[in-house]
Amino acid sequence: MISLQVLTSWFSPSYPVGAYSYSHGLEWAIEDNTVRNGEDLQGWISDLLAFGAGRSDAILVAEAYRSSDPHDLMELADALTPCSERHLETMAQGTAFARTTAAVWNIPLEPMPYPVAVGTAARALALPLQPLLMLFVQAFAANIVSAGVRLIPLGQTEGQKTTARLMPLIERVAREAEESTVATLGSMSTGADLASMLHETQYTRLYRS
Amino acid sequence: MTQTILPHIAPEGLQRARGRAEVAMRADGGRTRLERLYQQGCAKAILPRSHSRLPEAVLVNTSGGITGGDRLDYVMTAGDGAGLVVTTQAAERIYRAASGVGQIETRLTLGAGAELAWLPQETIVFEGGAVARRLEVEMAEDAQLTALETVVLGRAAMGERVTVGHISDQWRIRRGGRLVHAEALRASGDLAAATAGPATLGGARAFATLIHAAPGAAERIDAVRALLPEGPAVRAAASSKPDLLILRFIARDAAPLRAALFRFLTAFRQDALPRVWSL
Repeated sequence: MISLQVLTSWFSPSYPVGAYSYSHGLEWAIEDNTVRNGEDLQGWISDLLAFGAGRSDAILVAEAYRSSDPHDLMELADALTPCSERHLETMAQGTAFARTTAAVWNIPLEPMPYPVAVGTAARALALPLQPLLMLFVQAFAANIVSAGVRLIPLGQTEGQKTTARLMPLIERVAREAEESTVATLGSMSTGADLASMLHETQYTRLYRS
Repeated sequence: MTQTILPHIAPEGLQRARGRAEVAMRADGGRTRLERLYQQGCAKAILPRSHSRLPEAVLVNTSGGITGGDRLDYVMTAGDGAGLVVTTQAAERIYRAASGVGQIETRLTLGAGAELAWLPQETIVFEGGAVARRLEVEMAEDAQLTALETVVLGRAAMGERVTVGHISDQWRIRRGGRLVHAEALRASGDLAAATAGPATLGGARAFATLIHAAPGAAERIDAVRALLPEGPAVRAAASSKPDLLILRFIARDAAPLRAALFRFLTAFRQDALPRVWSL
């Protein structure tokens, strides 16, 4: 098998982790009129990539990939979730990813937070780290773009333009994560945390986060 | 993203501020008594007569602020059945660092049935300031923790705008030996960019995180939401994890945030805050 084939299958929307059911707080930001158009969406996701979970999760993937025992990282990634829906987002996707990947590739993989599961599985299959990080971060961004396309709403072309405009930043975040450790973990995405918390009591919701 | 704008180690031989304050309380027949008070360097702990339910400790950094290479250690303990509320006499100031990062390490230990509230005043980061803070909590399963940290980027009244700096705030809360919550706040280098967009601070300069960990804490979520400030001056929200509440606040400036925290904490804790909060 060719490693790029495995990686693209993992980060395809058809890989059964249920990514499409999480908006990472965007549904509230749209309800609140904070995100109203493609430009706002690009700005919102740029901040998540540079200063939020995009960066932090990529570092967790890289650290799990380097780690022979991911248990401390599993505990940390679980504890770092800032609210109940973001906890669900990382734990439910991680559990689904672990179940499917263990069955398909015949590797031991217990339920664990999504980024740690991804890094641990890639290590077990000796997949290359840099494309792993690139595809992981791009899937994170593209999934939120998809939620924006559906909720704002935007045309499919506008959505793809947004993803394309985010590509230089996605590339940078993936590259920097490769050289980062848990010591530099952290985010400044307080506004996105508030959005995720407020989403819990949003009256009408299509997304689980 | 700049990973680190400043070297982590101060040049050798430079005189830097060091301070360590330790306060330990123990229960004695239904009352809490002082078990240990230790002060070293620029850190002092004052134990004023408390006018609330719990005994108070007020921490003072006599060096007047923190710059690169400084280090403060606070060790606060509420033994089995004991209570303690800790605050600071003034806002902590993080001044421009010529080199290095100022370090603040706080360790809180809560014994069985203990109650500890860590309610320092805000930390003000000035242009070029660099601080790495750690809050380590070890608590018994049935202990009650309330922990707050507030960060303010410059002073609006003085027309200050913070564009460059380094802020790292790492919390690790262990209950019964298990990591139940962690916070990792980090912005390094271009703070203006890291706080401009609505997913970060939307240009606001004051923000706070409040954690409450106690048996049954999550069941208070609806009551807590009803106590949150309303209106545009302070935006706040709450969430829960098992036996844990998490709250975040964002405000344009320090003053409305302080007022909102005062009101929230007084109602939530059903107790008066230490007097320094009213000054």
